[in-house]
Amino acid sequence: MENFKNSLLWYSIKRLLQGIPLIIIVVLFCFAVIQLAPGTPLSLLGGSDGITPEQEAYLTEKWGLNDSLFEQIVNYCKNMLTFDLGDSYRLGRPVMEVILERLPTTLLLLLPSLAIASVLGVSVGMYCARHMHTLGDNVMSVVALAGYSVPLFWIGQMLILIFANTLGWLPVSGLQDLRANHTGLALVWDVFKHLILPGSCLVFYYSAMILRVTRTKMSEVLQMDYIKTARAKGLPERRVIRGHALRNALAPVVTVIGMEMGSLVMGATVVESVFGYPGTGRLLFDAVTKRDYPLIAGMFFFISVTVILANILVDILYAIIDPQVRYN
Amino acid sequence: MQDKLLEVTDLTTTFKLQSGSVVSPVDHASFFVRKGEVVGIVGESGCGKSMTATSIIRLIPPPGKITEGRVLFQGKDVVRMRSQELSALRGAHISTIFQDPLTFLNPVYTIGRQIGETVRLHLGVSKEEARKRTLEVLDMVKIPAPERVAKSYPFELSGGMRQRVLIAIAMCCNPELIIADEPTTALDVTVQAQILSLLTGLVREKNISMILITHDMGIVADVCDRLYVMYAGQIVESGTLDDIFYRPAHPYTKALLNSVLTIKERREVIASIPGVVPDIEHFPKDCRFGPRCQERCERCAGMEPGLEEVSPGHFAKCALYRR
Repeated sequence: MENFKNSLLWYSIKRLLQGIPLIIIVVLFCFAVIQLAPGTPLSLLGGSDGITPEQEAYLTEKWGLNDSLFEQIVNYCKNMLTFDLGDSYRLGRPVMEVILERLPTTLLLLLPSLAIASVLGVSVGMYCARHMHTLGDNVMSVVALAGYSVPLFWIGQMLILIFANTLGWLPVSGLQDLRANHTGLALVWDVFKHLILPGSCLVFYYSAMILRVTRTKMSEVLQMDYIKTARAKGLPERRVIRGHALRNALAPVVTVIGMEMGSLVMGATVVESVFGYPGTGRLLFDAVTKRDYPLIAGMFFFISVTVILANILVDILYAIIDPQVRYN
Repeated sequence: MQDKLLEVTDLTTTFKLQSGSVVSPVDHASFFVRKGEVVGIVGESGCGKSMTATSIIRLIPPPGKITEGRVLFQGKDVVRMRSQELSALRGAHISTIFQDPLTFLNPVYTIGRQIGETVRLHLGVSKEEARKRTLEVLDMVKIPAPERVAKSYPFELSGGMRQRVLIAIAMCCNPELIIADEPTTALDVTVQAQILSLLTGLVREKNISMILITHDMGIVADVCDRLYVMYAGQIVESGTLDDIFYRPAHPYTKALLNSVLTIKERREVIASIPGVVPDIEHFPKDCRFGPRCQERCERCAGMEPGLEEVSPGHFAKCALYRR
């Protein structure tokens, strides 16, 4: 029993269970925030002409806008349990369907970007930590500083300006060339070309953060006494770094990567907007500007669930990296 | 006389400080260790004893560098070794036991893994054999239930147990020389005695040479054959245990011994050496102990004293013994 209590499995189960009340609270909170926002969904629906009183009465009835707040919450939660997030006011289709349609597009952009950025950020960060205050480290540090301090939309526009407009190497925006009707490998190649610019933009930003964190933590770990022990044991430097130092330096790196994973569904709203990329980030942006309550709420639900799950994942990874964590 | 296992000549380690000045925490240190001998290096904190120890296996933290001297181990100069040779030497032929068992074990790996890793690296044995050897050395350092401890993480063990584990790591590849850098300083007094007798028992039994670095005169009196006394980066006196304890020659050694407390005599005022160790950037040009010395005289003035032979095998770096 003592063994089980300190096991990774028990720790993971505990963390997952702790996530449930959190999700419920988040759902209620989202609902409340939307209710408190001024205006009604009907006020923007008809465009500049507005809608007729008959239409208004019909929609108010259909969407239950006149029900008491309590009834609306209860209904909302009931639907939530069956994964029914309601219909989008604007698109007239189930929110779930709309989101799931856009999700793969966003993941196609974000997951590879995050993966490349992780590998890049960690390896360059390790290099910098081992060669602190040398020319290479200084150059990389300045580049990294630029990476997370220069606004993403500006970097995006510059990339478009240079590689799409001036050089004409890559497409300006979108996910694929809509006029070309590519199929098979040609389609893959076309989509890949469309991913390069927004992808580089994200890789630049993500890897800059990961690099900074890795560099800082790694340089701290390299000063630790157990690194001296590892060297005194005769381990070759490569094994000292990869085997003994890296694992101890990984915890904060995992946190940063986890945080970014949490925001995956939200998408890189800015980057998606700059590059006209049809992902969930743009979907959220449109939903907010059009007061599409069910869609906003649905997106919030999706976002919060991924954030919570990503956090739990980070906690579990922590426990794998540092066994001391699961003993408390 | 037995062969010299380790012979260090004029070892000098220098650091370039941020201020731009260059300092030498170890300054022309020469000493040797014979086979099966336990040699003590004593001195106050900051006198360069730990730096001397880490210099032997070239583990000085950057930007430190060995700028002069030779470290001959079994006839080969460690200072000139390439990194592969150095890796093969460390942990296999020369092992190190560090001060604080809490921080010198990697927190994320089990004890078994940290010992087994060394065994596999140097002895080139299978995983199963490495596991057997691991349990063997854990048993050797008198750890109860080696099986369980091998599966534990460092944070699950007490300080004394962890120091035993560090000793086990040092012992696992049958080294010829162990450098023990303040091995008991971080432990409770009661545990100190146990660890010390365990360590000396093992090196005597297996005829391993040991360099024991400590600031504790009581410890060296218990276990060492010969002693080196360090002050401000230099070795100021060397000799057998009896030479140093009963016939101390250097005024610093005398003062150091005078400040040792014993249970037999009760003192109203605890003797201490007046003044402090000079700042490393401003060592006196002549005798480094000069400003604190009780026996300073006109012979000292103006020049750095050489290492004078007081009696056969007993040396002191003091002008009083200049012939």
